[in-house]
Amino acid sequence: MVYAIKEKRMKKVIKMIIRIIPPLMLILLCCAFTLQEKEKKVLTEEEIKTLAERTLEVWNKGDIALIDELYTVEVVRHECDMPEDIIGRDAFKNMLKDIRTAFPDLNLAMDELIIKGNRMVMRWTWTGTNTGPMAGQLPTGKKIQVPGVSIVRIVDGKIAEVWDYYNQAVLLQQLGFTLVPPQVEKQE
Amino acid sequence: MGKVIGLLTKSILIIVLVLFCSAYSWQEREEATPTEEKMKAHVEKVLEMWNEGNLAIVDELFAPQVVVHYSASHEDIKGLEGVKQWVTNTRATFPDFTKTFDETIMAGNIFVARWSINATNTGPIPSPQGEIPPTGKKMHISGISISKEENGKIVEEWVIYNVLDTMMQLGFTLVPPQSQQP
Repeated sequence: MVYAIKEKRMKKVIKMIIRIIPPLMLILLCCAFTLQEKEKKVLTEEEIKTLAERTLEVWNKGDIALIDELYTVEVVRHECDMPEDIIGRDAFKNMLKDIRTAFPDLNLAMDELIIKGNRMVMRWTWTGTNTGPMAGQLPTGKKIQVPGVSIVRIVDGKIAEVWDYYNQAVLLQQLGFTLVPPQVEKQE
Repeated sequence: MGKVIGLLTKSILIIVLVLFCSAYSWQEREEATPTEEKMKAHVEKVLEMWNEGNLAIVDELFAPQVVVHYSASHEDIKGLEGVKQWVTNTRATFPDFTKTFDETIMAGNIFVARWSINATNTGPIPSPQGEIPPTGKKMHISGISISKEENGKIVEEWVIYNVLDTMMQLGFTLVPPQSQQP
């Protein structure tokens, strides 16, 4: 008799547990969904500032090893002076090497940093002396000073995408290039 | 009867919990709404100014003391009249000038945008060497703008893009320093 009552109670408890499981799973799923978004590494404003400053070291010191630390493996750079995107760390390393070959004293200075969520916007001024070859051109020995801006997308604490804009005409005119208008060409 | 009430109570409790959980996640998303609304209104005005040449919008968007640092101009663009002249001149060179936004970021009083422009050069091009006749060529360019607001109006703006890209698309020729030497 006592045993039977115990069995009845057990059954009741089991039924209750079974009834509770689906809503519990729902709650857990709901929480997991929220947590999942938070699980990714989200940088604070202070950390993004540090990240921005460290990207300058990549440019100014030619610190290639730092690229692995600051950028994602498949980082995409949209460069306004290149027809194709620069995809991956190795491609970025090659691009950096080319620029630092042309301008060994390259200096990128941050004029302003704007941070919003996983985006940072950097206004910068690029200075340097063209003492090395650039895209098949002999060194001109001339100094350049060019302003520009970058929008940077950060994923899990690393730079995943960059949009770089500056006026290449300013850079090339400072190096002694000239731009000839279309109709002047026709007159020749 | 008691069982049913117990079940109902339990269900209600669980539903409330789930709703609370959802509301918590929703709350975070809803917080962005005022900024998004502000940004949407700003974007619409900028597009109307550029794409329809509505100069009345210049007075709404910009402060009288505005300074624009523009890639295609050596001198800064200053004041409401300067901005109106800028819009008018651009649309005279490119009457079908169409700007679109690819990405917009509102960080406090700073509006950042990545934009694209599609235009056909059917008007004269102003240049330091004098006016260049229309080339009839189509161009597609992209760039970034940073606009700083004070009291709801833009006081300083940077418009940065690769002007060389535009000029090459219009048929300009780039001459390297070496080939100029005899």
